[in-house]
Amino acid sequence: MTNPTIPGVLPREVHPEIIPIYDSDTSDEETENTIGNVPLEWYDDFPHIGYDINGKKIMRPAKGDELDKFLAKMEDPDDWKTVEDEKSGKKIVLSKEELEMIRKIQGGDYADGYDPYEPYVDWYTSDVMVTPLSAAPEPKSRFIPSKWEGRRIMKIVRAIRKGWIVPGKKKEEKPRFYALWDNDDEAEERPNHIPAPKLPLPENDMSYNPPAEYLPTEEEIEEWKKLDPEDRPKNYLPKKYSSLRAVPAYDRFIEERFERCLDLYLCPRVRKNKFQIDPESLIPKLPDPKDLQPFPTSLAITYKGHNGRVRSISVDPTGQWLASGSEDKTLRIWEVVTGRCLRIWKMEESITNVSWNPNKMFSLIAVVAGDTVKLINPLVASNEVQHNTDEFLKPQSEIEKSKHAEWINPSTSEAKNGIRQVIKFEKNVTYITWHRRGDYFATVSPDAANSAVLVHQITKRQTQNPFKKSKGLVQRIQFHPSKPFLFVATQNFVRIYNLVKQELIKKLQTGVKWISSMDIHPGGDNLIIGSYDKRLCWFDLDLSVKPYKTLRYHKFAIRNVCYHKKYPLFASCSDDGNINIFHGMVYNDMLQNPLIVPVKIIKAHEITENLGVLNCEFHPIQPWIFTCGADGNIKLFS
Amino acid sequence: MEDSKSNEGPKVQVRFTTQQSKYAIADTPIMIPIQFKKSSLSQIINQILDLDTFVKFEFLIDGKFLKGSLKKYLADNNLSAENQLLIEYIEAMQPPQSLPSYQHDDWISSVSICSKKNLILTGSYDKVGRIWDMSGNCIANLVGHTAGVKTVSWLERKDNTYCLTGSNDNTVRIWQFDENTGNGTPIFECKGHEGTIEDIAITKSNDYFATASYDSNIKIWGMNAGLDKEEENNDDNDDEIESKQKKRKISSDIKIKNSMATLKGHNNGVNCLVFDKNSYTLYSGGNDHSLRFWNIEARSNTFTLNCEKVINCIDFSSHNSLLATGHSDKFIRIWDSRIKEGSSVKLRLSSHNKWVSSLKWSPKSPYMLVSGSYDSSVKFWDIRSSTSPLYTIKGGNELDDKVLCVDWVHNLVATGGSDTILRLHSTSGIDPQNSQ
Repeated sequence: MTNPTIPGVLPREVHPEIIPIYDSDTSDEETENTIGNVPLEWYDDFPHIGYDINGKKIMRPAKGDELDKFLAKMEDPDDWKTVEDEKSGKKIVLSKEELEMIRKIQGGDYADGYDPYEPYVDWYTSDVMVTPLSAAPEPKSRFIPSKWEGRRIMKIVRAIRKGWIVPGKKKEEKPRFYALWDNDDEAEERPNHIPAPKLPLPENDMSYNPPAEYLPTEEEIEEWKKLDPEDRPKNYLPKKYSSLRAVPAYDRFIEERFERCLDLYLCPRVRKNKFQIDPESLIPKLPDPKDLQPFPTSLAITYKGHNGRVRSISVDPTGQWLASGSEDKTLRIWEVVTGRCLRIWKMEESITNVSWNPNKMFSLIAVVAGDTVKLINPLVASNEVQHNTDEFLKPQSEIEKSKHAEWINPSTSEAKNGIRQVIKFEKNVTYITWHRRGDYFATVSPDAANSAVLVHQITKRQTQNPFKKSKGLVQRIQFHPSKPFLFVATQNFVRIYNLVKQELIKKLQTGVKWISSMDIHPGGDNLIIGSYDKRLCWFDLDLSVKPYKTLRYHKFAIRNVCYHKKYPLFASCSDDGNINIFHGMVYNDMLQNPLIVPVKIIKAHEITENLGVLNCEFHPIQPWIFTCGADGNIKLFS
Repeated sequence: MEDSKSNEGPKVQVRFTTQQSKYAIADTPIMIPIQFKKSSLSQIINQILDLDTFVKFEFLIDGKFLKGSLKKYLADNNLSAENQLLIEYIEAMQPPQSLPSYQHDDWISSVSICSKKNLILTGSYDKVGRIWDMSGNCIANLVGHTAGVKTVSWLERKDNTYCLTGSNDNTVRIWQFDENTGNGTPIFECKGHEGTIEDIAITKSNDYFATASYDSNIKIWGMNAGLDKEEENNDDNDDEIESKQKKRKISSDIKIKNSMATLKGHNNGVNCLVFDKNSYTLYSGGNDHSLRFWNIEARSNTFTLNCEKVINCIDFSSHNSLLATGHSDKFIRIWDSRIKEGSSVKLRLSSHNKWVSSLKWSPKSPYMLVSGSYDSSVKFWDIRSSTSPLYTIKGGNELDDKVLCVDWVHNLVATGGSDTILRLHSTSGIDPQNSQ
């Protein structure tokens, strides 16, 4: 404490000298007793109080009796600062410093002489001292260039070399005076920034004094008021005031602010990525319809005469005559190339279906009217063919009676008119189809449960029922063009039966709700169906039982679909009054899928009572198509 | 000419020529402003000729009619105004004059005008062929076919005048027409075709005729004395056919005639045929889209041209050996029968809206033809101006009416169709040669 004091420098704290005598300091003294951390009471009954490092018992120091202790206390002046070390049983006299420390702790003071209120010493002042504080030599790092700085500089150098940083580039000088709010583009430069939608500019009629032509008339005001606020084209009415002074307070201000807030709030703040794909490139590459000619394009002839809906048409296999059956209960024969009606038959009921025998040796039409089918020789073919037909249908005396259909020989007057055979059914017949050889034909009468499909043979005058059980409402049937297969279309499925083995070969899953029509490709491996739910499905029978392609081009139900026998064409006709012509090329190569290209949509018939084109059929030789419609006309497109 | 008002601007040197001698002018070049149109050119010719009444002219440059101004012609042909133009002029044609028309009971499928006697033969779908004189009287009914008559033709020989009628009942009937009594007596029934008779063609010499049928065959029938031999056959034939069909009332008087030859080659129905001028070649067109040339002597198909559409009608022009065909695609195609390589379609005339059902070359002009179509119009064409027809006349009452047949003999054009009216038109104004 007697150190010389330098002005402004606090005296160094001085600790007492350590006197190197026994038990002056116990900090480095080794504990003699080795019993560890056990209570000493355990040794109360023993003469020793523990063991020394060598394992020898440390004997309890001899203690005098209470009187001795008292006397000793009285004699010892240091007794008040003597404590007993329990472990060793020795007495320790506390030093002056230790006493001081105890006193400080008791007083709630710092124990070790720390002075929290030392005066502040500003060691690093601006005052230059005569002698430096430190005489240490300068460190080496001060004399070598910095590694980190070097790295940073190299980064910049590299950026300059790559042109990211252009040194010496002059800053664009802003003019000294410029419009502060002028530049809105700056904000747009920020990536992904979507500016708030701008307020529309005020229009002429928003003026307090708009030109007269902007002022609404009385009726217009009435009309505006009648409209719902959402439906109004403008949410204000232009008004004229004589002067700006006369303009009242703006009553819609809060409403307008609210709408603006809504605008801002509802404005999409996410940039939507629009696909930048050329829509053309998404369209599959199809050949130009021009290269796929010939196909029907324009109306050539209208066959007029029917007074009711023409339900069905059929062209004779030579392509010279056309038969049509209508709801006016007449069957008509037309000359195809001139549109001349040659013959008319009157039936008892409206005709639902006509079908020309596909065999060129015969000239025979099957006509379905109600529950009867009539086989009619139309008397237009050459003598030889007519003769063949009549021989073929010569009245037979013995006719086997079938429970499903009754074969009746025509009366003489009927025979004179060309009617050669009448077949009566239990239920109404909806559809008739011929086998390619012209001897068999099959009829559909959907109401007749398990005898819905009947196959008839003319030469034997026989009717057979091929199915014992009904598999659903039969819509159409058709014979395979070359194999002994029969295709039966019910509402949802097309089943293919082998007539020789009498078994089901395939069941096509159409995926449509209600099949309306069906046609088989002349090659026999492809099939199209049309449905009342506007779909046209193409099946490749070798490929799958699911449609190869489903086309939806019509607005309303499809009434009929048909293939061309010679050209790669097929068509569908619908209640929307249109016929769609498609190019449908089937390749001989089994690996190549059929090519289907829509080539032409023809507006064919007027829609009358929600019915449009009821039937269509291709000319057997030319690329022409016949259509018949609910408007009572038959049309030829070439 | 130089004094005329509108002679400013560029001019072109022009020489006028004509083949009509009464309008001939001196062959001297004249400078004419290039914006002149044919009306101004007509005025020039009229001034030069100093005619009493104004005559309208048509002008031809390089065989094409001038339409619009000379300037347009020069621009279209990339010519400069320094070229000298040789312009041919002809008297402008008058539109055809309508003559009284004759009402029929049913559709008229065919018409033929007799060139010498001024008689008109029509075939109708009511199975009757009718002969009309020029005052509108039906002087004879040819009754006998069991189906509608599809085609008719006159056949004039030294001794007699015959009418030929082909029908949907697959037969052709030959009727002898007696001018004095005005009766038509059937003399032959030509049997052999298996399909309907679509067309009859007659040679210039009137020795034989050919028929086209839907059974895809063409048959040639003779009119000479050789007939007798064929008549012998008719008994067997008769028995066969008669047994199949009802016996006809008049069949006792009719002899059955068989064909001289059958030309097979068409794959489908034959719609039309025509002989060329010296009768050695027969041209036929049909549903198989082919135009076939037949050698009559060899009875063989010498050449086939293919076209994309059905050929509905054909006619041969003896003036320039051109074939005209009408198609089921609104077009008339002009073929050069002499060119056998490459595309021989010389021209395509388009203005009809529907199928062309019939056509006929002008009997006098090598350039003109008349055509009838299902769009109920009859059009007159000059092949020198292929872009538009010269005249369009009505062929039916309504747009739906179809013109089924036309014929053009001398100055008379007859058309018939589904409106059941036989319409006659005088074309004396059309033929320029007429006024020579």
